Amino acid sequence: MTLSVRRIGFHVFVIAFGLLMIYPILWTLASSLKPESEIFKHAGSLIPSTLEWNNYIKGWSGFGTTSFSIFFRNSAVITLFGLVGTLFSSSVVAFGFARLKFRTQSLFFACLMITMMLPSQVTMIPQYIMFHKLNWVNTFLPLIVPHYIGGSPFFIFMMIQFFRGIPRELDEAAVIDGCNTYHIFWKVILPLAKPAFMTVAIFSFMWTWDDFLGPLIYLNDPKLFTVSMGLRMFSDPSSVSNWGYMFAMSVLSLIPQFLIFFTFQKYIVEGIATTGLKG
Amino acid sequence: MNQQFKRELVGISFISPWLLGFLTFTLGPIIASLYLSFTNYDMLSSPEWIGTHNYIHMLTQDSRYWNSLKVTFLFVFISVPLKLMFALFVAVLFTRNYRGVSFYRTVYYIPSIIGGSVAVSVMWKRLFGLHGALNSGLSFLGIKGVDWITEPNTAIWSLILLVLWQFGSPMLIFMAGLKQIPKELYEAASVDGASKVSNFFRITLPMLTPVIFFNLVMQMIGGFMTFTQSFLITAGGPLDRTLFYAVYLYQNAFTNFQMGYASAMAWVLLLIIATFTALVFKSSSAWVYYESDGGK
Amino acid sequence: MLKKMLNNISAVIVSGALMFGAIGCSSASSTKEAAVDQGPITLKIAWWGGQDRHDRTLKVIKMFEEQNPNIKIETEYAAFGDYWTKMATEAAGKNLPDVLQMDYSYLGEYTSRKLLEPLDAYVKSEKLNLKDVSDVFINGGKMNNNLYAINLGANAPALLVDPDVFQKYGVPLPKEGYTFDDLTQIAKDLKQKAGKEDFYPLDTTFDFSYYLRDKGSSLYNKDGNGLGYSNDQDLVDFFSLESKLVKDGLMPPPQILKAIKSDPDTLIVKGNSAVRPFTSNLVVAFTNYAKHPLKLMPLPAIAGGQEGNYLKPALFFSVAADSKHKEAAVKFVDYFTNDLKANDVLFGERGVPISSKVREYLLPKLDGGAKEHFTYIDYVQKHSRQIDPPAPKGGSKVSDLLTRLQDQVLYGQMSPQDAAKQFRNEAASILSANK
Repeated sequence: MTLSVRRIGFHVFVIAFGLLMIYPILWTLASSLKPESEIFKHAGSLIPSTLEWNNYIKGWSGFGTTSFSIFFRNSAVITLFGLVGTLFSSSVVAFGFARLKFRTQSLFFACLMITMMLPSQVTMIPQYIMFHKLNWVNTFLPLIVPHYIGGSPFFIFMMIQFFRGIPRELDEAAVIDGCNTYHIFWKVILPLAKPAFMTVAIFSFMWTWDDFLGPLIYLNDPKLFTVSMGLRMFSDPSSVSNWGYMFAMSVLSLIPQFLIFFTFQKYIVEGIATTGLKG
Repeated sequence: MNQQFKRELVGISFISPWLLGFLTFTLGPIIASLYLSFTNYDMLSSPEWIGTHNYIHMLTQDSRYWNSLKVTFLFVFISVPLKLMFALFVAVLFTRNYRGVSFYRTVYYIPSIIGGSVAVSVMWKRLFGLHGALNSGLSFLGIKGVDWITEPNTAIWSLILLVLWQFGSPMLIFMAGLKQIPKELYEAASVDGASKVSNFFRITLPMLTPVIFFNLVMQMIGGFMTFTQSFLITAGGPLDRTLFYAVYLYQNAFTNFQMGYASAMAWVLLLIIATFTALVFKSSSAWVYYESDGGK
Repeated sequence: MLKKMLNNISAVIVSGALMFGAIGCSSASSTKEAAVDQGPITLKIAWWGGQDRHDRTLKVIKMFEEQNPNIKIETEYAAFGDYWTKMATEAAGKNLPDVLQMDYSYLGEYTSRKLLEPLDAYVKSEKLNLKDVSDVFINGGKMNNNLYAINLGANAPALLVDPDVFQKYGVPLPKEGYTFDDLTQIAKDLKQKAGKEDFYPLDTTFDFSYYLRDKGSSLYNKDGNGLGYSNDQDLVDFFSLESKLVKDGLMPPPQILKAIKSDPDTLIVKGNSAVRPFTSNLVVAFTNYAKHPLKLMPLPAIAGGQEGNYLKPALFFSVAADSKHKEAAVKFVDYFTNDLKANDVLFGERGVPISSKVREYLLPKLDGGAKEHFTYIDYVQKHSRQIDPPAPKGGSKVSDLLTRLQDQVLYGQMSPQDAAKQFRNEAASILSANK
């Protein structure tokens, strides 16, 4: 008896709190459908007086001849290519740090950590100058290549921690079976790290998708712009701003992230957990 | 080719993707920024060497600098523990499979998806503004609210709340870590008749320590470098009450054309973060348990 | 071991070389003779603005490309804040656009570092035709007697007035030549008749540099290495005036002002205010938001003081000193300024066009806010005096300092006397670095 009352109470509480969690998103969605004059006049209400689909249509048309279909395409390219690079390089590198012992290891690990602790604003200018000399400015290269080479210390460190949670007995068993280091990586560690992979995938996608500082300084031609830049261009303080369009496009921008999360989170939690110790 | 050298080679070959990038794209700019911290550099003309002047000015004459340190420290030491606790609590709550849990996970993660966009900043200002939703709710209780964002005493709390609201990221990582714990451990414990609470403290928590360690370090580093929320919502104000270190740094670099000074700030921040991170690392041998190292 | 050592050494050398080569010595670029451009060339043009401005400018660029088939144009545009981050980055990387939109507040910073090309030679040879432009519109772009920027739209400080509010409460509009005291009295009358707590007759704060002009002085001195007013009492009076307006409920407190982050959100648009000090080119946008006609008047005067009003270039186009196609760049600016069809598209969105021919051409086509703007600028042409020189190096820091101190006073955390003193000390130290 008490069990199901508790269960109902649990669900009620979770749902109520959940509503608080998503209220701001509901507000954004509502604003995207309100006529421009209403967005701030009636900020409290979640119900638009009319459904202003025009916000979506006009917003999609973007600026000049560049519509959001181009922005979405660019964001997709940069994000997906970057994602592949991140998954590859962070897992390989993390294996090196987590499983192997070599003398220069601690030195390089310290370097890895340090790169995370320096605010990016100050390395931005020297990096820009470097990419400029390579003639990579106004291309996607400065935004994609660093995912493959250099990776992201955040993901590397995260993978390291996950790998260290996998028992070594499995490695040893594989060695007895005649595997060398590369085989251990490929056949033992990788399959067990699926939750980690999915997590990296979700984060990498989201952060690359939302990044605007990189695109701002490296991309000049509006035909190369990403969604994040398009959104920023809607709200310039010195001239007329189109908040309705901005909210509408923000909503659309959220949809891929939402989908990615929803798909991958299943694998994280419901994935094949075979981290058991074999008999 | 002795064993040692061979091992060295294999190790380096595995970390080579990172190493290559580090040496080509990262090390140079890092050294450059260190050099710049000893110069007067406005980006529009050449840097001019001024020795330790930036550092001295920053530490002895810049009251706004110390204020930004205070704001940032306050923020980190309040928001990081709270955020981690929420994240862990909710992750554990949503680990098992029961009806609706997939949906709940998504709902509680959504705030993080929306990230640091312009839309979030506008929306947060609406919610906590003078005529915002919070004040409408409070008026039902007969309380007259203020503008929580532009009132100097409450501004920082509105940002802390924003950061806490977005606990989805560490939650997700906890979820992945929880999934990695072998079911067999729980099965063995239930054979011995252990309770849920005891399971949590004797199996879950210890097995989770590598992930807790990771989240702690990353949230702390991220906390010290917090920028977007303040930049977009309060712009460091009102009256510098939300002047995060990274925001003040950005202002010096791009608003005041003082990239040299900003670089000096960056390196001091790096020292601060490195110190705290090293402390956490050092303490980890006492409380972090690595299955792969056979435990301690 | 050896391998690691070699690795490290070569890494340091490579990055060191990159760094020194990159940042190294950037000598001031020489003013080379502009070579006559043959063959297809690419111009890079940059500006900031919102969607409306982007659309118009891109159309004009297409029209220019059609008329000049050997010139291809690459564009860069962003919102105001992002734009300057980008320009700073490009300046550091030495690839500023050939034509860049420039703002009065940044003119001093960019010219003092010799990043902009002087255009006097082009004006003289009429490649840049300013024959239909009166001097008062040109001088704003001059630094040290050289012309570095071409005004894209005339602007002036103004008081936005909502006649409907005045009518509603039966209070007469300010008369020509009204003073701060007059305005305060009018505000008191309005507040009393309105009887509403969230009605603030004055929509926002004033500009201290305008106040100083009314007194016959200026914010910066002529050499740009110090403040332009010697009596701290002036700033004390200014802060005290604003402080009292806030205390009497005639001007909103900072808590309310800071929550307003966009123009459609302002009190005057919502009908909760009567007047707003601002710059005239915003009248079009505000009229659109408010959905009823608004008027422009000059800002208040000070009894026994001087004429404070001035014509201000809303923004400019400048040519980069490092540009490799200066002739083509100048041609574009000339087209933008003088071509009638182009201005049909631009339609004064950036401000009132400086060429009298363009103004005459557009005036009959205007209505609403745009017409009010043209009319006001016409008036200001006859009732103004020379604009103060652009802010010197360090100007953005001084301006930021002033805003922060104003905040402290209006939040009630600092007295006007202390604020004025602190401003004097810190601004002096910032500016004394300029020679």
